[in-house]
Amino acid sequence: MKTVLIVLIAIIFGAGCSTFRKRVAPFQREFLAKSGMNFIENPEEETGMQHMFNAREGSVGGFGGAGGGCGCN
Amino acid sequence: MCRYFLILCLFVPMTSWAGAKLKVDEKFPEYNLKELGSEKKSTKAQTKGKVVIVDFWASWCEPCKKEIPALNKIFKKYKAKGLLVVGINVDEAENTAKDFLKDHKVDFLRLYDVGKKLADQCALATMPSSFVLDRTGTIKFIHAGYHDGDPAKFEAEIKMLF
Repeated sequence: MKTVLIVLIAIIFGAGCSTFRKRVAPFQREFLAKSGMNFIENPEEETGMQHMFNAREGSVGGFGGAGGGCGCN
Repeated sequence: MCRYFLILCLFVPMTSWAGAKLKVDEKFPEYNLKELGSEKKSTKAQTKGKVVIVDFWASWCEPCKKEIPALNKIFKKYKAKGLLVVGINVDEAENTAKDFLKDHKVDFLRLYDVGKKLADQCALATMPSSFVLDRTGTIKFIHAGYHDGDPAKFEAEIKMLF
C-alpha cells in the first residue's frame, strides 16, 4: 500500500514535468516579449563582448558568433 | 507492474488539454468574438460565401507590425471581389491593443480573443499565424509567421480561391 502511495505521488508530481504543455505557447509570450525581460542591457556592447570571447576562446560559443578563434572574423 | 502502468495511463491524459493543430482542408473553428473597442459580436457564420484571411496578431509581436500594412493593401485591393480579412488580437488586455491601433492603421475587421480561447483551440505554433479560408470556411492555406515574400503568396492564394 505504501509503495502504491509513493508511486501515485511520484506520478502526480511527475505529470507536472510532462512535455505536453511545458512550452509557453507563442501567443502567450506577451510578458516575455517585453524589453525588461531581456538579460542583455546593451545589444551592441554584448555583441562586442561575445566577439571578444569567441576570438579569445574558440570553444566558447552558443551565442551565434562566427569564427574559429583566430580573431580575424 | 501492470497495475502501476495502468495508473500511469490514467494520469497522462490529464496533461494534454491543448487544442489540436489545424490542418489544410479542415474547417476553421466556429467563433463568436467581440470587436476590438466595441461590444459588437462577430461570428464565423458572417463570413460565409467570402474568401477569408484569418490573421492572429498581437501588439507586442514584431513580425505582426510588418504584416498588418501588407494585409491592409491586400484587403483594399480585393475587398470588392469578396475578400474579408479578419484580424484576431491576442493581447492580454484589450486596452493594449487599442493603444496599438492609435499608432498603427488596421483597415480590416478587428476582433479580440478574450482569454485567448480561439488561439488555444487553434493551437497556434507561431505569431503571427494566418489561415486562408475558401468560401465554405475550409482552411486552404496556412501561413506560419510572416516573411518578405508572403504578400505575393497571399495574393496568389486568394486569386486561386476566387
